[in-house]
Amino acid sequence: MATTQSGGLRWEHGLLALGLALLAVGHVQGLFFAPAEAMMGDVGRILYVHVPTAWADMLVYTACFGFAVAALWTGKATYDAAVEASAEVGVLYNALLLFQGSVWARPTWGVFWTWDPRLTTSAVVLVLFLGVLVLRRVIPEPERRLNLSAIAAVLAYVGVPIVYFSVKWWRTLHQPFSSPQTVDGSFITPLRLAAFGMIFLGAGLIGLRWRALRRGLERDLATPDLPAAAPALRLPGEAGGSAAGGAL
Amino acid sequence: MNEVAEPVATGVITGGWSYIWAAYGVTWAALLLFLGRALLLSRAPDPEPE
Amino acid sequence: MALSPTVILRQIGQILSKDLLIEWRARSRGFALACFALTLLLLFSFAVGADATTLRTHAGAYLWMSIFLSSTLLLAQSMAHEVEAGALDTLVLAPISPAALFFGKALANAGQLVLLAAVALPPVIALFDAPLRESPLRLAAVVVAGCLGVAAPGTLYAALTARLQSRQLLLPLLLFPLLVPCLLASVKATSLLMSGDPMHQVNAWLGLLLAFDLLYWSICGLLFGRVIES
Repeated sequence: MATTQSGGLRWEHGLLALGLALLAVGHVQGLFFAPAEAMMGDVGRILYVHVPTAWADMLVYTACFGFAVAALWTGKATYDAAVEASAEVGVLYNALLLFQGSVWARPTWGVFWTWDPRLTTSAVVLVLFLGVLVLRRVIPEPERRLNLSAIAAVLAYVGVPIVYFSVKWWRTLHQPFSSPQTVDGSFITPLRLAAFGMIFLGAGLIGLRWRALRRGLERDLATPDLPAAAPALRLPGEAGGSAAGGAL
Repeated sequence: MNEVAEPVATGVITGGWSYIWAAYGVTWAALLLFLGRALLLSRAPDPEPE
Repeated sequence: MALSPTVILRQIGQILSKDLLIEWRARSRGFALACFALTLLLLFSFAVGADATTLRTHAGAYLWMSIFLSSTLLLAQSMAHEVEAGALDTLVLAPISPAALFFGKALANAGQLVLLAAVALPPVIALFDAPLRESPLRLAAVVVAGCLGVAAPGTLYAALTARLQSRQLLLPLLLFPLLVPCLLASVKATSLLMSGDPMHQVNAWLGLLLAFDLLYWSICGLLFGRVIES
């Protein structure tokens, strides 16, 4: 068991540094060097943070779905930790996505919230994956937590397309909805840089959380006879510990 | 920032930099906070089971 | 364990009749649930105000909201009496396919939801003065498809939360976001059938409902075994 090696540099630190650097370069370009968008003016610059967040969030949720299937298939704590880590990062990106979307919609459309299919779908998905995280907090037994939260994650993910289509029809049968302009050449570079930045940053964050969570979960699964005692053994500051602490 | 194209139907939105700073500021702040928390938690020593 | 389709069908029938028998014997509970659904309908009208036009326009929404809000009580109850006396552990050990257990229970829940909808529909028409411009048969199809949509993820999540301490909170928290497409499609289709459907949009919504049903009935049937074993 690797208990004392947590100080060293690992692959996730490299991903984090790369992601932050790409994101910073992309954002500086988007904020100060890219031309203002034709229709939206300067406000269009929000898209350099908004669109990459959306792309990265989709990838993070897809990874979470993959980890959940793997956890169900193998029952291994390492995938269980990955489910929680990717759900956390997915929820973080998703919350940011909704905030950026609202801030962008206000000057563009005059309202903070529109029932745009993408915006609405991401709100529903945020609640779904928050549910997965809440579920993990309230189940003290490690094996049951692995199975049930992975099932909840799978059910949440497979519903996303049908949520999207239902909201899309629900809106478009009322009124046609104009989507933002298609992306022009001069906007692509900062967009692409920021997108890869968000993706690498997300992967690094998942890796960081995964390594921290895995230690606690592997110990839990190794001692399934002490489900009630397991939360008390954790430090209050540790993720699993604070999680169980919220439930008890 | 002088390459603003002519508006087609509606007026070009001007200004709005407070919204831009809000979007970028909150995003970076949240990402860095989450990163800091994750780094802190990944360095926490493993509690020794008795 | 590999069971032949006929055996599985027989098992589904047995679980279904067992659940329906239990509910019939405890029919005062079902009566209470119907009263709750009717109370909700009254509450909606008080909350919205005595504006006849608004109430008529949104009659379909009130009908489905009262079904949705009542459904968690019904679903939780259907798993509660399995868990209470340890009956579920016995069922898991018995040579019954988990899929058969799921389909039996989910069908029983869907049947009760349809019954609840049938009880709530006349008051909706009376209270909100909702017309019915299209064929009642199509409304019945929408009601059945909508209730099937609630029942499949509902039964799975009821089983998933049945043994947790905060199940009363968790069941609606996990279930309702998942049911968003089902709610949208049911309400839209019902409203169109009530107010008239000149553009023939109901079939699109019914198709969406059926796609939702197909997706969740199959995937929940696959996953139910893992839920009750853990």
